[in-house]
Amino acid sequence: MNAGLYVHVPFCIAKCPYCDFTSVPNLDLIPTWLDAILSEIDRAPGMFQRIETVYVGGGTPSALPRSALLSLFAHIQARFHTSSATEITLEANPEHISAANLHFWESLGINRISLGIQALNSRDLRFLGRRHTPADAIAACRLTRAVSHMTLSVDLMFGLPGQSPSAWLRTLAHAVSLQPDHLSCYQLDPVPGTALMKQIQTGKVHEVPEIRQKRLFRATSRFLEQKGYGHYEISNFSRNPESECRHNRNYWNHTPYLGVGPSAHSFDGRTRWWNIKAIGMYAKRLREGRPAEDGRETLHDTQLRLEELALGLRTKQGVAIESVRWFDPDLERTGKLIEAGWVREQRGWLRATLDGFCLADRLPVDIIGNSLDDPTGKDEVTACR
Amino acid sequence: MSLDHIRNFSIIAHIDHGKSTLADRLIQRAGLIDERKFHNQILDNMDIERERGITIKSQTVCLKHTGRDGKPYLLNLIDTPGHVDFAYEVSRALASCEGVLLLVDAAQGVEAQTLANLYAAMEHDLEIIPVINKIDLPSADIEATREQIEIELGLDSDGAILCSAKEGTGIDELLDAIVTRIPPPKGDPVAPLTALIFDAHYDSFRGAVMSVRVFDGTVKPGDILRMMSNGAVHKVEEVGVFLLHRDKRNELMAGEVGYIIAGIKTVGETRIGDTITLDDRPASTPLPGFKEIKPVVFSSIYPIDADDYGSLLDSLERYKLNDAALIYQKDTSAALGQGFRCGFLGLLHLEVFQERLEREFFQSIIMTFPSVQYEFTLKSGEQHTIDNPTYYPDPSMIDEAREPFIKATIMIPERYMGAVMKLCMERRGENSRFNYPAPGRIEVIFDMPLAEVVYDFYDKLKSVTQGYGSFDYELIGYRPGPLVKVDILVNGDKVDALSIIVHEERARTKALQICERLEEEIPRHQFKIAIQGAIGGKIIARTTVQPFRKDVLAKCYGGDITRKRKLLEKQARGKKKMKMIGAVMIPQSAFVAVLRTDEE
Repeated sequence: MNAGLYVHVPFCIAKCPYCDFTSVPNLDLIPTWLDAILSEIDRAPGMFQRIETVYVGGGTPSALPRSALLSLFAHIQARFHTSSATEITLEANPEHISAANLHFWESLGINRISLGIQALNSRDLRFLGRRHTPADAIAACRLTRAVSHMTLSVDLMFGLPGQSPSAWLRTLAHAVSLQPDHLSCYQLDPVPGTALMKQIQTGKVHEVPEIRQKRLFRATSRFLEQKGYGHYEISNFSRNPESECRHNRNYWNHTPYLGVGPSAHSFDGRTRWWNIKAIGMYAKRLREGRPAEDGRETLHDTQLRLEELALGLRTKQGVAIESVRWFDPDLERTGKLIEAGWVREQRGWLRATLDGFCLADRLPVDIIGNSLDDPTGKDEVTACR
Repeated sequence: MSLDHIRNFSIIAHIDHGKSTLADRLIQRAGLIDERKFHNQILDNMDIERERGITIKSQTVCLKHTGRDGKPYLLNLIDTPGHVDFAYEVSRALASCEGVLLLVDAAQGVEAQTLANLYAAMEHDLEIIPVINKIDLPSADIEATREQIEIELGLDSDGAILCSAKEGTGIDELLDAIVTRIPPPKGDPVAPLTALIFDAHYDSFRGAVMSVRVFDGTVKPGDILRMMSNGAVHKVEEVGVFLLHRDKRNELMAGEVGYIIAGIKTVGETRIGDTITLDDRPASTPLPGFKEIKPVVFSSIYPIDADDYGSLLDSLERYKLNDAALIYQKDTSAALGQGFRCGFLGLLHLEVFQERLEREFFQSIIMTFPSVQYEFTLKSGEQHTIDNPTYYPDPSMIDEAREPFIKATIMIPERYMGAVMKLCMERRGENSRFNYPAPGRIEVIFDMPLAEVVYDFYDKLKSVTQGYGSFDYELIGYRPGPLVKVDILVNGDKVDALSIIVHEERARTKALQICERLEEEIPRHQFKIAIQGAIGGKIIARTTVQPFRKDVLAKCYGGDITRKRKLLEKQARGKKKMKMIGAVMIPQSAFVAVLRTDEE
């Protein structure tokens, strides 16, 4: 089985106001985390022997000292079978891109870089609390292209307060001119508990009206498709199928994955489990030789199908029609969605249209209808003591 | 036979002052139940009663007691409901007694209901024994409570018994006082029968079991009864007294309290306050005080799933067996389909009904906004009485509209005066009067529209007075006012079940409140949904449910797919409990939210 490996690096120089990922602006904890994650890698379950993808995300993995990355990759290579075909992604911030770092990362086997540029004008970057300038971002892309062979992906955010559609399209055009192989365009998503949410609640920041968000989303898709980037998942665009992110694609098609590090999720095809979020507690468990698992659930068939449906409708590939029929045997409800122009059936697959993508979280609910009636009470989540 | 060994008494108290605990303690002391089986509040045997600490259905129990004089006594404890909705039942229970224990919480002091109950007891000329309860509490202030009993209640506090029902202290003194101070019943066992029905409950094998106090005469199995209110006759099957269970006797005599079973199928055929006499030798006049119980609050109920209509009807029929005060009739809503219009004695009665229907009968229902009964005089001179907004007359035809008013008596510590005044004024209170029964305490009396009180007034009062406010009311008649009907439109479609009749002055506020609640509860659709409050064709309030959020917002990042799936499962389940109104799905929660009390 060719599984994926996700490594969570929960450190940042500073916490961005919109971010709700597990990360702390305290680099002093790196040694504690490193010891723990190395022992977690060493004791990885045997089923994750061969891995097809590695994704080092965070947090800001590029903020890790070289020594830490070196031990991390040494343990990964020792514990798992990888090859030159293994997709190995590192998330990086523009301010950490230098020729020396790029060479070092490449020497570790990293062949894909996901660059968090987020925006290309100072006002947006300031709002997002990023520590780089537009010039840093541009220089980082150019340097990566110039001195490495790594696949380059850039992350951008849209729907920022005060951002006009034309300003966003200028950012996009500018990003495309840097010739990345891949773009991830995320809509700004205020999450409860973040600094951004507080600003919104206190009226300091106004959310962009949904109608405009929708326009921005459609404009993004049209623009990038026109520039030759395939819209293969709601938030993801790729210059060609080879540069699509295989690691993420595997999440969406139920390929098993092992997540190591605080808050990381793992999945063996049937059971999903997740680690403790707090770094200290996570490290303590592993020091004591105990698993860092915080909870788990075993999916029954309906739940697996439901995930297939929900994840599939977010991708260009779509969802196999038999997964749709599981919930809507005679495609009665689905027919209405087809009529409305939100989904299309093609050769045994149901796919969302661009309008459908805008409702991606709604479509599965409409298809499910009342079919969840048989209680899915088996859906137990057991917490590790 | 002498009646000297019988004492009929009741315990009256403000809610929470420990009535049920004291009753339990007396039962325990009488040896009716042993220590091991004893669990709190034996008389409150409905779950809801125990949870809320209130007594809804009264029960009666006969306690055996040996007095200080060494003689055996029978003490009939007639329990009474402890809520303003049930004032009539309380009055009938009191009419069956010769004395009462007036319970006052040593930490809380005298409350509005204490006074109301005291007045009721005085009306029946009962011997009143003040009892200061909860003396074990650290916050108990016995001296201040004594003073209140003297000043506010005008009773001699020297005779007050100190007790802690919880700890069991003072119970012997209390039993002695019942024997020595409450007079024995009077009555003539050979006179024509007069027996007062003060309660009735339903037994699935025997039908209605009537709780009675026999004033004159004797009743025994085989006698033919006649109900003096309507002349109905029934043959007595069994008589007896209540221990904790029914204890069969050969006869019930003047002065005694007990039960009669007479092959009556439902409690609906018995009337509380009615006088029972014998068909072959009837009394010439009934006992005083009989009133037809009339519901004052009305609400419609609908099954969430139209298929459950039959089963809801069945549940109502069974429920009604044991609740004579509930009335219901078929009702149809364009929005919610077939249902029932129900009448209740008050809001608590309504809440208890709703809870029991869900808990004991497993019915999922949608309930409409409670309404009172309005009177309309049309220009043609015709009179209409309406408790359902659906039947609000054509406004151009109305000559005069009238709504029921109450006299609200509120007792509060002085410091809450401002807050309570504000609340009462907001609820259109008028003609305020004040009494200062004791230093630091105020009795505020307002004339208020019942409609403003039935809903959440008591909760609000509790909240603005931090629980120190107490409330009692009585209906004082109808007063004219500009009453309008507010309709609620969802996406242009009128949801008839949400219509309300309201005073013009309050129409906008109420309409906006409902629209806002609906806005929160109605899920986003593919289109924008306008929620409007309207009087006739005029829109007076409006909110909007924006169309779907672009769900691209919810990015799917990393391996935590569990969270996403759970959200979908939740949404899919939520959808089941929805009603289609036009093209809009309205969840049950929206109908419930409209009824919810304001949190602020």
